[in-house]
Amino acid sequence: MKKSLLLFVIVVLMVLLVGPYAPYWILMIGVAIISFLVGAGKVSSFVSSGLGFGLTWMALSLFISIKTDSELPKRMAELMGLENDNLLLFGTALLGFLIGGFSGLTGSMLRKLFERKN
Amino acid sequence: MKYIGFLFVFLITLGLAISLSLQFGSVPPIGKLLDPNHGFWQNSYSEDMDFEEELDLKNLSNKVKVIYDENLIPHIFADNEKDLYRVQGYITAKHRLWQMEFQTMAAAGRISEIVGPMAIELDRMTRRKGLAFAAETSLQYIQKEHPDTYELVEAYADGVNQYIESLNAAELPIEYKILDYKPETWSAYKSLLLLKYMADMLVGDRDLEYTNLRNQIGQEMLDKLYPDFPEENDPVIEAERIWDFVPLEVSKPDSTGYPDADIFVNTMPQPVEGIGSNNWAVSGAKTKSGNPILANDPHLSLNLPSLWYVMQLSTSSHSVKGATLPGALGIISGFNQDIAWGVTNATRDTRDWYAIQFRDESRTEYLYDEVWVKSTFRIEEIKVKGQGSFMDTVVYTHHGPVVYDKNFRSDRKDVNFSLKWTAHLESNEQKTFLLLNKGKNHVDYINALNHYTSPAQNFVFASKDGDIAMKVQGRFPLKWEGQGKFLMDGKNPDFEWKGFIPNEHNPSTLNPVRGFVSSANQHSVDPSYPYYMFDHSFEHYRNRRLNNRLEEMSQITSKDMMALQFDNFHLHASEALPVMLDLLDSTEVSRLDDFGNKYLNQLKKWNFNAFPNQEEPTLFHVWWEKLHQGIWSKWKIEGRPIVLPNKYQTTKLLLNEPENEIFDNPETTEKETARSLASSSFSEMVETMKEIEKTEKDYSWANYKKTSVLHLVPNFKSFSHINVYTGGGAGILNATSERNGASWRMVVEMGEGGEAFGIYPGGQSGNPGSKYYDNLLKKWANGEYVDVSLKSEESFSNSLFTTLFKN
Repeated sequence: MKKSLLLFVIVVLMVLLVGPYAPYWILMIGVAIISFLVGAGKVSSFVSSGLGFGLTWMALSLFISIKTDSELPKRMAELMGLENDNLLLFGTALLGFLIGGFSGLTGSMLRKLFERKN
Repeated sequence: MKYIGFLFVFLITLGLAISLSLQFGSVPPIGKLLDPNHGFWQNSYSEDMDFEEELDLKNLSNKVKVIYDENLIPHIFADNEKDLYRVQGYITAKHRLWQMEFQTMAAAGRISEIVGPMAIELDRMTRRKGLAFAAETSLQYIQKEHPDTYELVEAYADGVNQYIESLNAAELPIEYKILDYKPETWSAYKSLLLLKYMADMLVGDRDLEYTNLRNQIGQEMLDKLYPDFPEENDPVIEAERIWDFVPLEVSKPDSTGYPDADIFVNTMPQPVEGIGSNNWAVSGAKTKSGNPILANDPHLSLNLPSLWYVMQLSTSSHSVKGATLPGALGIISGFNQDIAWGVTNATRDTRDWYAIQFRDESRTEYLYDEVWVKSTFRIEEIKVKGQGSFMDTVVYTHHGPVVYDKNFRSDRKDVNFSLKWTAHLESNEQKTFLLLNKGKNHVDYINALNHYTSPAQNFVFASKDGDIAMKVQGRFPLKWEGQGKFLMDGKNPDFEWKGFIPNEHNPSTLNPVRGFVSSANQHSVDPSYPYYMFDHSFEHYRNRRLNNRLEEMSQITSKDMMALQFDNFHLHASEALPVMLDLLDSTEVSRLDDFGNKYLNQLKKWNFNAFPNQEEPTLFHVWWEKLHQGIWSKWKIEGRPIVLPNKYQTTKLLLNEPENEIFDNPETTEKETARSLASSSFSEMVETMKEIEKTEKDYSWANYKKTSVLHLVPNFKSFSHINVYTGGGAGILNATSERNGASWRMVVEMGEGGEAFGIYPGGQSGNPGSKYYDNLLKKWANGEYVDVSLKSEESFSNSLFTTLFKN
């Protein structure tokens, strides 16, 4: 439990602090490495990394949306054939969850491979 | 098992990482786009939320201050011109980078690189018209002959490029993110391409269509229905003007054997008719304050990001403000402390076609003046997104590029039509604007105009000294009567242009007695002008309405001029509708149902205005279209392009000769007359209107014409504004039709206490996420303006923010 919370917090911090300077696929590698180092279980690695990544992306998007009060999310939603811009917000969160989750799972499973060898 | 499990998960992760960064068909790279740190979310910031107080800009000789007003209009305060244009480049790119690049890509025939194979046909046409060739020619000319201009254009390019280099992934304009490509380096060449893009947008010709028409209806009928001058000619330069020069001689060759074969090529799309720009200036004698007032509203296709970008450009010696074209230097339509100027399109047939006879299929030699002359080849490589390049070979003769041939828009092997166009000539239009920007009086204005070649414009002028003037400026070929109206014989030197009309002989006027100058795309002159002048698309309505109004107005204020720009009086309807109602058969009228009677009564009571809430303009428009089609559609033959008589000549014919044989369609057994066609088209109109009432519920003018301001990528519907509530229409001073309208409206009062007002349909920002993307649109639709008077650094009371550029 402790490990999964730790993983969650580090992933959140990394997406927040490194995110602005690196494309998302660098973050994915980062999540995998963190998950490898923290060593939580498979399920909790997936869930913690996924939630950490996805919720941060959602929070960032929501923050920008509220702060700017821009028409853009609505325009983008329409452009992408979505009915409303909330779906775009959830879409961003879901995508964040998936790439965070699978990266975390990859890191965790890689560690399991090494653990058996030891 | 663990290994397989790991491998499986690893591959999913890798697959996610890669696939989310790729574009599939028209689906953009989702991962990159949704990433809140770099994707579209980052484009949500308006410019005032995210600005720099200081910026480093290399190659500046001194500090430059940029102050933005509440509408995000930048006011650049620089020491000298080089610093000024360097910063203009930077600032323009900051707000309009994607647009300026996209437009030059369009001019270079490179849209396929961005959107894929669907644009190949478009790109081929652009390249065959020789726009890139023209820009290259101009670049070489300017480098050699006008190093002072070149230096400034280079400084502008440097400014644009320093902005591009400073861009990070998050700041990239949204269109790049969606279409998944990156901006390339800007250059002087691209600024010139932009000016060619304008020429292409504004210049058309109907030579091939006229050739078919002449074969079909004969020269006599052609002269009757398509006269060079209309009965009620109300030209740009007042008809009373005495031409005080000795014209160059040009005589019509004895035997002009025009090639007379029918032409079956799919001709290029032409500028839409009825796009209506206006400009005028009234002298102090007609204004309340005693100062001259100048007004300009150039009309173009309504697009977002807006075509124009408003700026004030100040150096220690001059201050100028008005509308810029992103990509070009200086102000295009605007004013400084001393003078104001504006532009409307001066259409004239400056594009001609020559039928070329090649020696053999290799097309390396063509016949000219009884000898074989070598042609040149230009290989056009059109890069296509997602597939290999498309190669096109364009053959050039001394006339110009062979646009239509066996490889392009023609099935016949012997079709080789070469295009000769003034836009291909060496020219430096940029210099005209650089000089106008710092002009002080009428002499400076004339000097500036002497550098202007294409697209020909009616340049209106007013000065603090009290002068008003108008000049039709372009480089106009010297032609014999009728030359170039039809496809010409490329091997006969008689068909060559005989030189050019000297600038001093171009139509112009200074302080005419009537106290105003004006233009609205109509004929430049009265028939007394000693040179042959022809174009297919001259305006017949806005000019007369404008001149009538200016004639009767006095004690004029800026407010009056704004109202005139927004004038919704439908002159064509006021002349045609009484005739049409007269022609309606009384027995036909007695048989009308309730709907028919309702429409008829509405039309009878109409005040001929076209306000957005009125229903009568819709009824008239539908009826007129049906009637026009009813009269002329019999001439249309599939695959053989022609032009139909315009609404002015058609109305004249209905009025003066309702019994003329021409109304009869020989294909039908009964005999059609103006009367029968008026009645049948009225019935058709009633049926159409019933349908519209049923489906749309509302047939008010605004809802029927559906004025739309579309993003430059037509698929980006949500970045566009469809169905903007506004009045006007083609042929009306407020010429706002479905897709065209005033792209910029400006009213300037000269002299002490003079004020300036401007508006355009969009906003200063090119970013659809910014509140400045379309904040001016509603004001524009309502006929409102924002204050664009000159400001000094000290006089700024409510600036949005300020950026200081330092070396």
